[in-house]
Amino acid sequence: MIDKYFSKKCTRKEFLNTTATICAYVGVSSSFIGCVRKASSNNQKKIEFSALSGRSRSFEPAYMQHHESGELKKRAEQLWAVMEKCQLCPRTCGVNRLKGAKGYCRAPGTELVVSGYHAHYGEERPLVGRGGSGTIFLSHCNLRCVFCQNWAISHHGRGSKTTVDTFARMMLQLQKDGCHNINIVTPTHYSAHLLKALDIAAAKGLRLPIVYNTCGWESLRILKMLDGIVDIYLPDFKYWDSNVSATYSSGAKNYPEITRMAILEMQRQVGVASPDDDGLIKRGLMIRHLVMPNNAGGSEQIMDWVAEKLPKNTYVNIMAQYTPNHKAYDYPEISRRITDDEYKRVVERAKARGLTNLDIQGYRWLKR
Amino acid sequence: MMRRRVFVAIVVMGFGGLVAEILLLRELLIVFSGNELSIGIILANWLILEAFGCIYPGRLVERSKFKLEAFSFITILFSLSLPAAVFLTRILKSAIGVSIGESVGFFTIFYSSFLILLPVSLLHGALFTFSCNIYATYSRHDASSAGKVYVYETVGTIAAGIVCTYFLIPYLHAFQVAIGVLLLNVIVCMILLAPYWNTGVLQKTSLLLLGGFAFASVYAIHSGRVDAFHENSIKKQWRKQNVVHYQNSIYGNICIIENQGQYVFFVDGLPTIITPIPDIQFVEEFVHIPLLAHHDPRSILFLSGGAGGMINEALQHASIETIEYAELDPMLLSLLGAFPTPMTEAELNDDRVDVKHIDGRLLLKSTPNSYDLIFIGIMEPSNLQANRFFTKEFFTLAKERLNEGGILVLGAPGSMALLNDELKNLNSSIYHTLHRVFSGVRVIPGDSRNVFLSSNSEEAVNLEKTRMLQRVEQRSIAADIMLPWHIEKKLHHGWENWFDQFIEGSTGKVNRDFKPMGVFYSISYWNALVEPSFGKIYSQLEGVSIRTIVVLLVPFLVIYFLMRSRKRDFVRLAISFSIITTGFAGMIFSLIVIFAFQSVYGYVFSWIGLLVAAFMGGTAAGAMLLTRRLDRMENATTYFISIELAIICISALLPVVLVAVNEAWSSQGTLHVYKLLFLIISFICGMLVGSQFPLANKLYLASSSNLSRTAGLLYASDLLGGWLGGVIGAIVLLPILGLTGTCITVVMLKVASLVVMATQPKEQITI
Repeated sequence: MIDKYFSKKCTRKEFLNTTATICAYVGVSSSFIGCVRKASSNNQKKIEFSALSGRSRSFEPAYMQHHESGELKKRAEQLWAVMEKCQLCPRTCGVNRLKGAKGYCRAPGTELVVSGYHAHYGEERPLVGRGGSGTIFLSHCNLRCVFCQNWAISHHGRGSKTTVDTFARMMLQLQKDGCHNINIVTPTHYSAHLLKALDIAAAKGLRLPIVYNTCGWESLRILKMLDGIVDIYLPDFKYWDSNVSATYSSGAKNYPEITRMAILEMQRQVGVASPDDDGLIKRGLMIRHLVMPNNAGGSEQIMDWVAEKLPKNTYVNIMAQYTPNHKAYDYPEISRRITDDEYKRVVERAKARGLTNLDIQGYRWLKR
Repeated sequence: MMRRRVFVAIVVMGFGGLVAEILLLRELLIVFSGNELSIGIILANWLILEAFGCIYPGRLVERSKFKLEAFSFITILFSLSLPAAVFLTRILKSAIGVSIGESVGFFTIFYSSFLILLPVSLLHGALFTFSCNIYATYSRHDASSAGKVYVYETVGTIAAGIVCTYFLIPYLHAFQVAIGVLLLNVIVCMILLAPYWNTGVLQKTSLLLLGGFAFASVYAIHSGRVDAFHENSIKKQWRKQNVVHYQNSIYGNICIIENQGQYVFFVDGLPTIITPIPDIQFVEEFVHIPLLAHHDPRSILFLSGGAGGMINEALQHASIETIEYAELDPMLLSLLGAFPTPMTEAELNDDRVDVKHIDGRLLLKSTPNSYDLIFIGIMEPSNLQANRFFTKEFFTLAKERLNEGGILVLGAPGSMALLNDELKNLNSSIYHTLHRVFSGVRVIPGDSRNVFLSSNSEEAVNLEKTRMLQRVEQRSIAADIMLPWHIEKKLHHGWENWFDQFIEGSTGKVNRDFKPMGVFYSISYWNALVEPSFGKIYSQLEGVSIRTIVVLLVPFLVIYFLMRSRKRDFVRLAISFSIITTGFAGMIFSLIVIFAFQSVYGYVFSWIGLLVAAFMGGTAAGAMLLTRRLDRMENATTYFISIELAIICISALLPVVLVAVNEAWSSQGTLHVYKLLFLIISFICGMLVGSQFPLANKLYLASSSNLSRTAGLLYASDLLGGWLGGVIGAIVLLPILGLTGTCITVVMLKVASLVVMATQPKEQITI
């Protein structure tokens, strides 16, 4: 039964068929698309992507307008000032990072720590294309989940101290390498640095969309300051229940409530994520949800909420790869892998609620 | 009569010491995960604490009026501290706030193992010094006493090694063993004190107390209290989890926890297999991509890690006729059978699957079969044993066993998020080592592991997506007409350059059997994750060379000679230095012989045991031989210097012999003959090391009248040398300098000690 379900229903084919109804041009996988990036220069504001179909469309990232008007710089300064009594994330721990204090996220004052940056070919297909997603991993985390697979970075802050100028240079390098976007992973506690670096990079010719790859737990006030700057929001929506979020994410009891508001704000800012002519998403909201054992995350309620509060074609990546990591074995209810049934139930619920733009991971792709 | 009783007490003291060491090492490794560094830290703490115990608490014996009573008291304290240490080890992680399966770094391992081992090792060290004094009291007060105690203790150690490995560990749990040691020691103490029943109240009270301990021990074992205590401690260790099985085998510990129909198999404290749901994303890419890369896979070999999903996935390809699967520990497979799931039953009972309980390298060496694909299920060269599957010599062997167009598949740590120099060096070293053997190497980077495909067929490793999709259709294995994204994304053309760029500028050093750089880079990476502050220091050790050793030794010698020119009484320091360097050499010899044996023959537990026994036997024989001649010996210094020379010679010869044996491994017939050679080498090395101890005592006592202090100090020097050899040898010298460089280091150290001894003013050494 399960095998049949996965072989017939939860397939890439179905996913692509679904997305094809939303975007008329997604007939050809982005992997087969020749994507030619024209040389960029300080004066060149637009990058052209040419698809096999022969169509071409220009793209200008959201932040360019604010960069040119000086608003980007202004907002960067405003966010920087927020670190004096840090309220960059919903913890609002209030430490003075400008004087080097470490808050709950343990970021060392105003110093930026980067654990790696590279062209990533393993992210969601509409972000990868041929050139990859230009991913920059930032160290430390404000949420610090007990099951985090990147515990060395998020909990222990492994990485190298980096300046804002270098951060900007990384973005430019990734653009030079042919990436399709700049994907900032765990940016919340470094949003001020991000805006500063973006302003520098934009002045030097950065023209790629910014992917704000976050745990979803974002302060509404800060998100509003990112309006018109971020092109793609890629938030997690981890938990529905506040007791669960408090247990697994270091006391973040208001995670569900704050994240719901944050996602609505993100949707307001960037709208539905639809692939462009070339199969790449350059603007919109892409939600990730990791299915956990024993429905710990409240997956079905989350699907219900997405279907009710957001457009039915909202991009939702339902992830199946949960593995007990880090401190997960302290919590027996999440110290195992998820079953096929548990995953299937979430997908069925999403479909039943009319969600059409689902990224489903059909690991059972072989005949059994 | 009393001498015999003391003899028994010393043998039992040696026996108890090694049992405690093995028991606590195994328990601590379950907590700390067993890479070469953590093993080194634990052994180092044991040896250094024991050395400290020899020197300081051991000296109390001189002041004690009631030596036998004091010996018994310390023996009982030592015996009681053992179960306490086992219990503390099991609750350690919860006490320091570390979760099950979570790693800790150098400093945590160091201080926590130090504190846990402190009472046990310290007291055992003190017992050696006490033993020397008591033995001298009941025999003759001469220099040979220390040598004899050294021999008897070694005899106890050999017995413990055999009994522990083949009886205690596989059949009893840690608390049964610990209470058994207590009971044994109580009996020995009663035997020691029994003749003095009528001499006073102290003796009577002591014997009555010992009787009480004996009764309590027997009651605890008989009533099941020991078992209950064991189970309780397991529950505390695996807090909140439903432990359904906990067992030791000679190879390690396996603990199984059950969770809503899923079984998590922890091997030495690390989650290794989850049934019936494997890490399907990794298993699929690790198994299916290489199988789809091969034009017609028929015969496959899995070396470790096959059960729990990999074989199950491989069996989806109908063309496969045979799968050979080598897993060293039969207990793991029998437990997979004892806790069955449909998946594990299907994969292990399939007619095409042939399970072999054998070391993977040994199987590959001895099999006449050849394969289309060889999968290595060991994912990191974290210790010397695992590193044997990542060396140029192993890859050469694997290549010989691959059919035309065959592919060798292995994994190594990887990350998409943390791209540090340590990870780059580890992967770069493996990549360059593979490239020395195979013309084509393709790496598929991953979130936690990178997958390496190596072949001499370019077609096999270029992973052309369209062709692989065609093969999916030809083999009629997929339920859909396209590859799922998690497989397809791994074939993205961008990854081809990604890995080249990732390792650009990183090391090009090749990982060899006799120069295991993989271990060094693996430990460096582990440090970078869990203890970067220590990792920075450790990484600097890569710059160590023979010149570094010279630079360290020469100033030492210069300072020594300058100091000696002012104050001439330096003979004791010279003797201690010689014993330290001999202890160092002994540990290096032992390590090298076992390590070389594993490289040539694979891991054969019984033979490793024999090699250790041969070394220890040699130590005992050497010490005994010299002890017997000690009284008649007229020129001990000449003997001492001759032994120094012999150690230098064997250090210089060892790499030549071992490399020759390794080179000759293609001839099967001669290999069995060489096994004997390994035993002989072990015995001779042990003999040379052991024979110096009684001589050193005799020479030292010429300028000191304190027998127990002398014995304690020299035994401590021996342990200190062993500690240096074990830690520095395994994690720095062997990986960085290789076999030859390590032996040259030993030669230089022993030449230094020879110079120091040979240049002593004659009036200082009167014997």
